[in-house]
Amino acid sequence: MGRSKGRGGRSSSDKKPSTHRKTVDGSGSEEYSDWFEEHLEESKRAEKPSRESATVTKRKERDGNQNGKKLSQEEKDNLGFSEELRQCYWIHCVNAARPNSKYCSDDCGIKLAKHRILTLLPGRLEEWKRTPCVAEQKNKQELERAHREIKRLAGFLEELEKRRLSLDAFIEAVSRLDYRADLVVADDLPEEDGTLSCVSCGQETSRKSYLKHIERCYNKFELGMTFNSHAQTVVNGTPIHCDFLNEKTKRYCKRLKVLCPEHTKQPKHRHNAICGSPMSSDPYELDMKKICRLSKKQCNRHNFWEKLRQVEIDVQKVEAWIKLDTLKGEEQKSTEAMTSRGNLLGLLLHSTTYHDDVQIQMKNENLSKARDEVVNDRKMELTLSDLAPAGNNVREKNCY
Amino acid sequence: MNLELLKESFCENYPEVPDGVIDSVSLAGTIQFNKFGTLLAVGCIDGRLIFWDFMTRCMVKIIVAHVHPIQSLSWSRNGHKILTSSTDHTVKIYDVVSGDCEYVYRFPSAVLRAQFHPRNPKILLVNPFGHAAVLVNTDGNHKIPIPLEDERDFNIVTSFDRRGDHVYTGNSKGKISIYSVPDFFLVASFKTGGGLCSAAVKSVEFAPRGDCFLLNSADRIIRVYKCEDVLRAGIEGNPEPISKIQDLVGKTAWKKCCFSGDGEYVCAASAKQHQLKIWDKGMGNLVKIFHGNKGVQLIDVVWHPLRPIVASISGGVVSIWAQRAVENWSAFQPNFKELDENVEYEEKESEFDVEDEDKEKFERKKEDAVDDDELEVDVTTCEPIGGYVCSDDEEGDEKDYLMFIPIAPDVIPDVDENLVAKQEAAAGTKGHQRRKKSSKCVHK
Repeated sequence: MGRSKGRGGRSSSDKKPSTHRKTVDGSGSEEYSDWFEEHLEESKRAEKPSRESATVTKRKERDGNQNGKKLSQEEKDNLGFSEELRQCYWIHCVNAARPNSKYCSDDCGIKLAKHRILTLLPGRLEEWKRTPCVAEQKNKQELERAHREIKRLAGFLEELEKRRLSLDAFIEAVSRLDYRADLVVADDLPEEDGTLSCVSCGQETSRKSYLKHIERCYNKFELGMTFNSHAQTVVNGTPIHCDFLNEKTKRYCKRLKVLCPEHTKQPKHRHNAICGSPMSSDPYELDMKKICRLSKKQCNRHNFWEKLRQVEIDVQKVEAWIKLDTLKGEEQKSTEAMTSRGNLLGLLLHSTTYHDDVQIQMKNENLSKARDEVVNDRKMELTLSDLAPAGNNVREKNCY
Repeated sequence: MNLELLKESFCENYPEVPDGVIDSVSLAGTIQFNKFGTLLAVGCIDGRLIFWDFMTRCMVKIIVAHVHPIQSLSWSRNGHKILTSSTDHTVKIYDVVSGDCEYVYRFPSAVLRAQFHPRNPKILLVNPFGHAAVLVNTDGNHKIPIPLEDERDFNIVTSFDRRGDHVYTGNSKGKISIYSVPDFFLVASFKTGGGLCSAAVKSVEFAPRGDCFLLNSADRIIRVYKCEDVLRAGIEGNPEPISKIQDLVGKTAWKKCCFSGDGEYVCAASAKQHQLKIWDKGMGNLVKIFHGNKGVQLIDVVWHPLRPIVASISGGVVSIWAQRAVENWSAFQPNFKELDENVEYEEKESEFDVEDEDKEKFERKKEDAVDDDELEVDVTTCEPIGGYVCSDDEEGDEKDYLMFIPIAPDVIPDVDENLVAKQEAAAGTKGHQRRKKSSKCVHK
């Protein structure tokens, strides 16, 4: 603490009387600490005469000082830093502080802390209330925004779930339809000649089996990577992750359930099943009338459409969950910042400076009033001590 | 870097030696440089999109874009958006810096290629498998199908030309049709191979500078044409290619071809062996062959837009081919000599004097006068860098361009697995939880 350092820097000869003070340089805390120290010093000087004997006895016990005279400040200094006894930091206490402590007892420490709070806090609270806090407003806005987004995402997730269920129903309905050659709209299907190169393995594949090859290639490469975690995913509604428990490693497979090549079996289609891929102009419209009527075996353009549509919804869900997580984190951050703003520690440690003449003037007036009060107190105490029995030397202020 | 210095006019502008490998976590499937070659986007076969900073060869961003392999990538004109297409029937536009998906378009089938319009990032050219190509306008979501030559032939390749004024389409009969954008008037058409049974067109590629394009046909010949010639020839014309490139010895088919950044060279990746070949466009002579590891197939090749560097994908990693870096200290000063060992230098009498005492007085005065005058030194204007500016670019584009992606350094905390498991178990009874964060992705 700056205060103790300040005290250590001064020796007895440099002791400044209360009238000589550091100039006010606009820093509130410094002023307070200065005032405080001097308040301390003065009151100590005043208190000493009445508690003199107690102090002397204690020192006798400690130093083994035979002559009973108390050591002057200089002699004490000469003793060496390690043996030097300090006075307890509490204003009204004249006991020696414990070794490795500023106080003679916990009591004094608490009293000092209480006094400090009572002296400083009201002023700081006033300051705090004076101007609005920009950070607080920002936090509020962020919190609001996070709440809105969370709400929206929750609604979005529900909608996705609904979509998924309707898609599943559609797939189910379509799979029950049979292939009928007469219903096939003569689309004049193009001859699928020629080759394309697969993007995963680079091989040339015929256009007829291009999509099947892509799927096989993809599964092959996916099997080469493992993707798992310790915990199961718990969500309402259709499961997103595969969550297949591997007995050996005790981990759950975290691939998307629909796409997992290891643990999800490919659904086998009936002999007469039709492709059934939605063909309406709006890609998200699931109309039973506008579907591809080719048999599953014939159709080369819409392979695996069920899987891909389901997975699309799942991926959107996963993205929404990730966003929810981040938003919750942001929300937590904002609330934490807001709850710990303007708390005791913050107020005591920080202070705002107003570079405004009126306010500085006000402060100066307050301080000078306080100073005058202290001075009067001292005078009164001194006069009282004069009346006390002679022989009690005014104990020198002990300061660091 | 001073681009003009790099473009050394005395040596050849094509790569000469392999220069390292860029290894993404997932297997790479397709790559694209951005307009100035500062960022490399790698589309992987597990659907992830990975951005590499090409200058520092450092991974800067990963976006989980698709669930199926990414088939093609396209950067927007100002480098802020990227268009990805995949076999999961979707085409997505992502914002590069934030990683947010801005648009998703669903198609009835796997999308083989999607391209931004070279000038207008609101217009996309999408080529789905087995269906007609469409021009999509993101403002208002209009989809206009590109007219087909042959109604039954969906095996087409399409591309915007360099400026985006026309769309070039090639079908499986070798017929090229050129439509103007956006009204789709047929402006010109011709058949490769001159009217007889022509081979299918596998791809159309345009040079980033200059006026040429190439056709990669199934008859293993790469034909380079000038756009001007083709447009002049008109409908059912018969333009002559300025050069025909083929491998006469091995008759290799070409998987992918690309032009160099200045449009002078053509680079092609062989479909069978792991070979990259570079030809001079004008003459058609082979200037360089690169051999890669045997047994690995080449999947994609792309040339850096400004420097003589080629990036190719094989075996899931991106290999870089660049020029040999030669240290040329004598280029910096005329009488700079390179020494083999230390030499004691004997200086002349007045060599390092600040003031030249031997000079005539009036000469000295003149020198002083010149030095003392306050010259107005202009420190604020930015000269546009000649190498970057294209002939018909507007001024404002450069300032808006995304050169680098800002990232924070990744501090991977040491996750105590037991602790994480305990935390998860404690919170496990509540609903709505995802555990992707603690998942591991491991290559077997």
